[in-house]
Amino acid sequence: MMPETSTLRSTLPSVRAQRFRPSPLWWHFGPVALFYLIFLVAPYAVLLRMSFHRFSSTRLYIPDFTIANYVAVMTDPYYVALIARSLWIGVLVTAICVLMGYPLALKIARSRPTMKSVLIAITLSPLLINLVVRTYAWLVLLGDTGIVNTWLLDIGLISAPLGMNGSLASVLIGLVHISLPLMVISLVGILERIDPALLQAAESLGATRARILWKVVLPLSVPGIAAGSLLVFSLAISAFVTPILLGGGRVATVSTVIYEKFTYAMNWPVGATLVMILLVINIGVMSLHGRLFREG
Amino acid sequence: MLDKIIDIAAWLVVLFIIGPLIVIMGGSFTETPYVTFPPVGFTLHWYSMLIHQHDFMESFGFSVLLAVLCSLGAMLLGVPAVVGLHRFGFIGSSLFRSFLMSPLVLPTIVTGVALLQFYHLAHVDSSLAGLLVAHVLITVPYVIRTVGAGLTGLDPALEEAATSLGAGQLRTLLRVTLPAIMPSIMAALIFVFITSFDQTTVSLFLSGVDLMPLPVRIYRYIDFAVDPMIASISTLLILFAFGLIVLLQKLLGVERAFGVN
Amino acid sequence: MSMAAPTWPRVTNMATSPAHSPDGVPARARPGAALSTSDLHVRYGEFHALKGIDLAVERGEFVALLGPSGCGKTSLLRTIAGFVHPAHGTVVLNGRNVAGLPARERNIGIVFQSYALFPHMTALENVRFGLECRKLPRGEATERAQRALALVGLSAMAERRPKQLSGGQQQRVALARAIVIEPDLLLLDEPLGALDKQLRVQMQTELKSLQKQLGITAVFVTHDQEEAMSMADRIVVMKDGSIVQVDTPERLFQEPKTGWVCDFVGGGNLLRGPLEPLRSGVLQLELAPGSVIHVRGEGSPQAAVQVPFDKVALRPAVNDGLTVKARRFLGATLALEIDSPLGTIVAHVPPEEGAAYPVGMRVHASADMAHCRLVTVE
Repeated sequence: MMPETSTLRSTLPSVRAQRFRPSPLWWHFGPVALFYLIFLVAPYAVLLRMSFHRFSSTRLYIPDFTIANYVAVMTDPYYVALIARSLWIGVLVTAICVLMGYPLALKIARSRPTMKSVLIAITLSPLLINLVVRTYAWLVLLGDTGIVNTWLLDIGLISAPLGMNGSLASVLIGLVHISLPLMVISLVGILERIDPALLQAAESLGATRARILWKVVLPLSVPGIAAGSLLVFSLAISAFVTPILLGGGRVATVSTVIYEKFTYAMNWPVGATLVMILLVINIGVMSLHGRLFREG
Repeated sequence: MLDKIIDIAAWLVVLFIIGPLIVIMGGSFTETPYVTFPPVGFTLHWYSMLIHQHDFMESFGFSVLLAVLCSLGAMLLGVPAVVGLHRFGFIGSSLFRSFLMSPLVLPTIVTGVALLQFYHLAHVDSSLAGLLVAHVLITVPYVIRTVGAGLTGLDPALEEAATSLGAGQLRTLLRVTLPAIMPSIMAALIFVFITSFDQTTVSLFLSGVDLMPLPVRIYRYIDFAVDPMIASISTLLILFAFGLIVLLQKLLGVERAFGVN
Repeated sequence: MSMAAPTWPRVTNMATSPAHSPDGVPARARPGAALSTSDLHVRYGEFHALKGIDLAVERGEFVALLGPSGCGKTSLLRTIAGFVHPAHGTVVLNGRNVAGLPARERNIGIVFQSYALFPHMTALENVRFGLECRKLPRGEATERAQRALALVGLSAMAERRPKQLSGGQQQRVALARAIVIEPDLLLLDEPLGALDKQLRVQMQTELKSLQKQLGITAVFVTHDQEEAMSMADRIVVMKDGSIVQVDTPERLFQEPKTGWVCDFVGGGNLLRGPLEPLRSGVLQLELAPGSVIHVRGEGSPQAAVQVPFDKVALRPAVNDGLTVKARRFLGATLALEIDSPLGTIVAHVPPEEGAAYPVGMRVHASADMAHCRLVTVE
């Protein structure tokens, strides 16, 4: 026999065989799948169905299968203008976010770690702050007796308050304030992935700072700009609380009209039709985002 | 020169982001009956007024209850799912993941409307149950995303090590996998809690007049008055948010917590 | 096993696929072997990672699996551990076929390349984990874990978390965690790969002496032939999912079975050219006029001559001969690269002797016949 070197062997109880295997797929996914089916898929399906019913002022809706609502919405100048305005707001907010977000993202990407964390925390803090609170802040600032008007009157720059509340301008400001963090996240993400050696290489070849920014950094950050833009656009066109509060009922968007149709106007079929249009635009934008994101 | 311009522009944008918040916080101490900045005088009047606003306190309590229940629900549904996604790759698992993430991508107003209508047709008229379901639906994606990122970052050898030492699946999960990603789980909890606590859009559709979550209460209030009392409650909510950010920084670092990169 | 057993336990390449008895234990399982595999095949989709591995490791032996990346050494380790399921073949551990057994029931201790220490547990808790899985009373588990930590010299660090430990200390905790469960087999996956060179050498010595002290059977994976040579009792050289050679470090170095093994372990120059019979059983290979190598053996078209680097003898030449192409200083020795019609010859010489051979110098190269041998090349 071999010398008894392995005398350590088994003073210990052995591991007991596991007969029960508690992890079939359904155990993991069953509850969540069921929950989603009942409270996501079914309600959306009901909503889709609703958009094919007929409006009735007495009975909420009359069961039917008609595309009349879609035809109405697509041809009525009011709804066409409404959809166009929402899209236009989305474009403006996106453009402003790119212009404002880019310098900040550059600054964050170039900062040292501590400064970077502080700047990121400040930039992203609005994401954790109540939407109503943020909107309220702009109400206070932009109102006729608000702080901005008071200051401007005090220094004599204007003689009467600017009627900003209830204007498109204040809706845009509020939406930019909400969307900016998302844009900055996307931009910082892509800027940090640019190899610093590229910038040093450009510098060693004699490029000026402006040329490096214009010819190297900007082209390389296009995917980030695109991703951020799509996110911001989809958020801006479906935002609801901000346009309703800052628009003071005077800036109608698809979202505010949907709210109206489902609450006091009680025209569910047309409301559902508007929802479906908003949904299609959003899903289109987000699937484009998903594709870009996967490639990037 | 260019760097200087970028620097100045960046700071102006930072000012744009936090300026309004500072104005609100400062204005909450003003003695004037309207919010102004810098505040005129100094008073805690608006804070003490808040305490005596019975409906605001009730809404606050309701929001906390809702957020706690929602955290529980989102974790119970989300954690098993995300662990399952981590553990078994099956055909269509990435599609299933997208499905689970969809409430984050779908406009909240649409989800709100869909549930409003669904509850109406199904004759559900419990504010609490209705809101809870909606909040859980909206927050499950945060669990999938944040805990999922934690699991992806986990050294696969960790679970193999536990197995080789004789641990079964359940022990491995409870003693090794979940504790090892505890920071991600805590971060997910924070996101779920605050998202539920702050949720306005969906809540506006689904809450009745009797039980109103705090954001809806504030929304209804500023619809007719913009006095400094709202500034005082806003200040408290802003400070709460900054507290959570500090917590996230401690747990994961803000960059990882918010998924920058 | 009889007393006539070889001085070191042998790893045997079993020639044929063994017949299986009804209980799944191969009929030819070696009675003394702690671990044996037979005709082990592993496939990942189209990729054939292991192509019929027959391996036997004796009790108390320390065996290295050595090979370039992708050779299957890690797949073999993971198959033994139970993380990879073989398409065919058996894994017999202490006489029981564990091929169908889940990893957790195999009682195999593993030291992972990343150490895989549980980040939320202290060193002591990490070590105690396996004992808790065995339902040991808490007091006894703690005591055993403490003993294991003492064994690796880390008693003072018991309450520290992995993050508060250095790389070398983490490595030791991982080792303590793997041996405290008194495993039938210890597997180590590139155990020292994450350490810097100085610490690596120190750990090599420690690891080996600990393994001998405990008398534990151990298999480790490495791509570093120096590490394999300095730690292992025997080395299993793998290539493309098959075992090429199993031998002691000395024999592997001196008598590589193939030219590829010779190259991989750094066994010396491989010179391939016209071998001419000089006298009975002796062949000669002429590199250039004046540079002749003699070797014992029979000629074949697949033969090359292995000449260890440090056995190349140099003499200054006048006009003819070979040319010194480059010099590389390796510390204790100087490597001279010499151009020859059969390719570059590397000669390791003491630095003071090397001073006589500057680049461009003409030299004659030869070697003592006792150090040269014939190797089959593919």
